[in-house]
Amino acid sequence: MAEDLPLPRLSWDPSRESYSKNLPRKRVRLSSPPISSDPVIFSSDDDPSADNYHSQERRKKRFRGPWYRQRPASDEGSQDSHEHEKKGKRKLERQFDSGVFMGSDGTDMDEFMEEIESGPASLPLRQSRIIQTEKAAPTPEELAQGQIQRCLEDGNESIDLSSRALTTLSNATIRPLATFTRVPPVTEGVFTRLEPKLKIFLASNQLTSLPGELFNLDRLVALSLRGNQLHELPPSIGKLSNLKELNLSQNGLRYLPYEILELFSDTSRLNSLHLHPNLFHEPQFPLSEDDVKEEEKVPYRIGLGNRTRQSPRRGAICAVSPDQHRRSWHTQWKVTYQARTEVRFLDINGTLVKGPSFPVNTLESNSFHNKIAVADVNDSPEPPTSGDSLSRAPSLLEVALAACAKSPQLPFIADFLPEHSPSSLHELLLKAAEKKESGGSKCTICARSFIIPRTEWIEWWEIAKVLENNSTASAASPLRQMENERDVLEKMVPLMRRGCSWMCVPEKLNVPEVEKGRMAVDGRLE
Amino acid sequence: MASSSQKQGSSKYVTLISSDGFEFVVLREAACISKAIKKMLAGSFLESKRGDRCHFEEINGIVLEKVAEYFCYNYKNRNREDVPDMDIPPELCLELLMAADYLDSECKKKSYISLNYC
Repeated sequence: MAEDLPLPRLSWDPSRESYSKNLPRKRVRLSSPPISSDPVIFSSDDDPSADNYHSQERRKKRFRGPWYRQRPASDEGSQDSHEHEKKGKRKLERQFDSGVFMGSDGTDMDEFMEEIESGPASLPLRQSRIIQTEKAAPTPEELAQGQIQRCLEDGNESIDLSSRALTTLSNATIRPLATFTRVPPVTEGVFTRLEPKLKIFLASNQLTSLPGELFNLDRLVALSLRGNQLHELPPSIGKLSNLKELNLSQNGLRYLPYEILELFSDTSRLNSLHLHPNLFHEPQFPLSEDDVKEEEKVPYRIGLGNRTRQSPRRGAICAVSPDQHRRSWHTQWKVTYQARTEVRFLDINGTLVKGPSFPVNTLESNSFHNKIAVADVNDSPEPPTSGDSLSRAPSLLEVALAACAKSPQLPFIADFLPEHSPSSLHELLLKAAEKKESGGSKCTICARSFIIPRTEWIEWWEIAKVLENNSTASAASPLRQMENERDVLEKMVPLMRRGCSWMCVPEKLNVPEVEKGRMAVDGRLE
Repeated sequence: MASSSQKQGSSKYVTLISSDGFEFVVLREAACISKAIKKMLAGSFLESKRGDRCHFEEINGIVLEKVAEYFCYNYKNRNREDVPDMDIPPELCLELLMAADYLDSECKKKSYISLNYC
């Protein structure tokens, strides 16, 4: 037995060859402690590899030596560790004597180890794993941090954090990924891009909100948020211009941010999108008298499916989107404006003044009450006040709140409010903090950033993928009526638009007479 | 400053007086953005009888200066499409937030319809 013990130690004891071969680990040293001393070249140095000192690799290896050797000792018996400690000390002394800085004067080996253990984030791969297991009960987020750290070090581009029981994900966890660099191949003469193609899988967690840093990762290629408890997606998702895959299914989403349309612009790369199932608001088209009179007979002859099929066609009358001319969509996607709700006008502290009330995001209201009546095609939003007090200038409350949000102490600022101050101020500051955490939001009309929206409305856009044979993916055949109905509903994606002032409202749609005439002809043809 | 505003009469300008005695003369139209000031000047308050002077016991001079600056900023930009941002020093942001809440508060306690008669 006594002879068996040294064997594992030997395998751990790093021979010089094994170090230099282990290239990937060596490359990713972003997180190692900085080297405080200069490279060492001393004529008195009796180390056989002294002539290699000028090379960068050698210097790194020298620095790592002591505690890398220490590691197997901590796994094994205490006697072994003593042996190692002595060895380590001897080495330290020698180098100190030769004028090389290796820690402070009083540095003991134990202290050195403690210092390392106190900062697991700055440790290379193996060490951090050990510390993780030593901890009593790491939170899911801490485990996620460890995983992200490991992926960073290995150069692993797909970060799989699915089914980790994550309830929150902070900006600090995601932030290191911004520095992700690919591990280049070692082959000579081959040049590759070091920009990574990050894939983040957060499926099957209990996330209710997302950190804003996630949307600053412009190298993100795939993002899966499937099976979480998200009720709202931050508008900053539009910043992920390199995204190819987005999975949002099985969340509690009632609507998507309007900014998601950025992902379908002609410069974007989105290829696959999963939106359903979710609790999306569905448009409720009114059955006007004309419809009943003119189209009564035709729909009922065909069946149930047709009743819904007429709806988007009615909506399609107002397909003349106000900003359609300045957007060009990706050829892979068919994106058209269909309908919108009436505009909700909100007071400066966010209370509803005028407009429809949307079903709220509570668990009780999940019971299929998700239809909202669409606004008339000719509806022009009227602010609740007369023209004098209307202005695009932000309110004083908004200005002050924006100033608060700029301060780095935002989360603690509410504690400085006097005791008698109204609770609405606390709520506003909380809201501002949340908004800052998730990346802020901009007015969808004038692109000004705001904290409290003054207007909001939902627009339904038809988002469908164009297949190669020139048909849209979700366009169903007229014969399959039941599927048809579902498809038609799922094509209509509700997008929440928010404005920063009461003047930021949708433009009145000018439906050209030609368009109307054409639609009428279409109607007759059917 | 105070005397000049009193001479200018009651119609066009109003004087805002801070808790530590600073006075700011602002266009009445600009100041009436605040529902509280609007009520002070229009209604049953003592202020309207004293020549359009509004006393703010809870707002000090430094904050009220910013408030007055905001009134001008808001008035100047009322018809503009691209409104510039207004600079607020970080040390003032919380006090200004409370002042903003106070200046808007009158309307909150009443219902929104109060706007029509005030």
